[in-house]
Amino acid sequence: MARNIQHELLTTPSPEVRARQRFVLQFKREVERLRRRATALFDDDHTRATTGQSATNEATQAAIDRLYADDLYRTLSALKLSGQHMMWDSINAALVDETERLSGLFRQYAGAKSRLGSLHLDPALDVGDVWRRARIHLQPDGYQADTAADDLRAGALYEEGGALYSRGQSVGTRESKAECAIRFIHEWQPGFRPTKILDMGCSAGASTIPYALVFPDAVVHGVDLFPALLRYAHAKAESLGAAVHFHQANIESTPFPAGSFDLVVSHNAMHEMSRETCAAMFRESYRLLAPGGLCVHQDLPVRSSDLSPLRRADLLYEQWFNGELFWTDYLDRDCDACLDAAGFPPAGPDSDLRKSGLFAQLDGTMTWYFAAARKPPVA
Amino acid sequence: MKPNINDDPLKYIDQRPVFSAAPGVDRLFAVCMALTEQLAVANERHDTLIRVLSSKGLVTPEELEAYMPDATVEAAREAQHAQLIKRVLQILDLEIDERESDAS
Repeated sequence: MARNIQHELLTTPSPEVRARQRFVLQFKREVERLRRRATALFDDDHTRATTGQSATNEATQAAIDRLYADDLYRTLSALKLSGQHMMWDSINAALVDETERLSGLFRQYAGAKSRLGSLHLDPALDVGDVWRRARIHLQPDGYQADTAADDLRAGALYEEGGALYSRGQSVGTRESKAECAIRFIHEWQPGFRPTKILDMGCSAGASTIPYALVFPDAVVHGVDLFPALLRYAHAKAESLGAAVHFHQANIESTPFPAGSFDLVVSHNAMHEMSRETCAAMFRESYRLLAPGGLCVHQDLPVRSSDLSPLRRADLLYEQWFNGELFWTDYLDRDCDACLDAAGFPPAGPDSDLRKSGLFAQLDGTMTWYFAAARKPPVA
Repeated sequence: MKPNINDDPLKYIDQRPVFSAAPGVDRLFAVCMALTEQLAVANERHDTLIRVLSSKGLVTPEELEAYMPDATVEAAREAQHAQLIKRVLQILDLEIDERESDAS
């Protein structure tokens, strides 16, 4: 099941809106190509002298100062920002006419006697000031938007934005992130077959649902902070015949008893949280795992230590102007050390209890970072 | 614009950043790209029409060149142009909306 699987909650844009979406994909791609070229100009006249220099804050600030003093770089930044807004405008244009249809589908699935999974919302959950203000990827009104008991617009924007982005990058056309993780697990622990699975920070369920479809005998749960994402996830799962139980809860302290799961995963979630939340997620993973269970957290394979000051300066655009609030925090974080701190045994030469590292998607379009560990089985 | 590595990540959340020395230049980029988007949409529709009509043998390029719109079609086209201009200049509308809501 590829990332861009068709399902009935996806919009059917008019030819005009489809044309806008096709255009904006090409526009964003061209702006990225031009930004790479423009940034490389500084590699020639600036960082050649700094080859081998690590991206200290001081060196990065010097690169930031040079980039943002340059009119060409600033022009391309303005165009990049326009491209992101135009992308959301074109997605929203398709969504406006279908909001009621989507809410109707949610009501239909959530109220069905024969539904496979469930949805547990907690209106009293406080997401905190940062998440009340955040606009990850500049998504209109943010993940936190929640205007009615059948509002799933934030989930629809998330899903449609992700599908469009992936199409632009040609990522996940043959294998979803979850399927990639399942293959990673299979190569690490052949024969491991989970019976109770938790997806932490599951958003609109794109990575949760494949677990239910691949392991139909397993009980699958997903946890996230935002109700409109979870409503969308629930309706999508039911529509695809996937039995998933979605919960609005904080991943730092989930409502499940200790030892409830034999597989705890997350997908592209670590870079959307602070290091404190990430550390707490790993501790919670340890608590929730039964002995012998696996914890597999997947995300982008970018580390500050691998970046030149110039590249790091360029990437900071994402944090400042594309709503990636925890980008620097993630780039500097040692996720494997979070596993140590959470109580997982340290990696050893003969140990199969740790498997952190890089792993490529089947189609070769992307390589992911996995922070993965096994809770020791009872002796 | 002089971003600092220690800037609060939420600094630009509530206001659109301005990259150019003059904010009007950023607006101009947004206007140009909205305009280009509309051109892309029109190109697709034009391409669709020519392909469908030619595949059915219904029109020739000469017939398309010779076509003259009547009053009703003229009015419909004017309305389309008005809508196009509104979308192209949308960024200005949005800023005025923001300023109005700030003032109220």
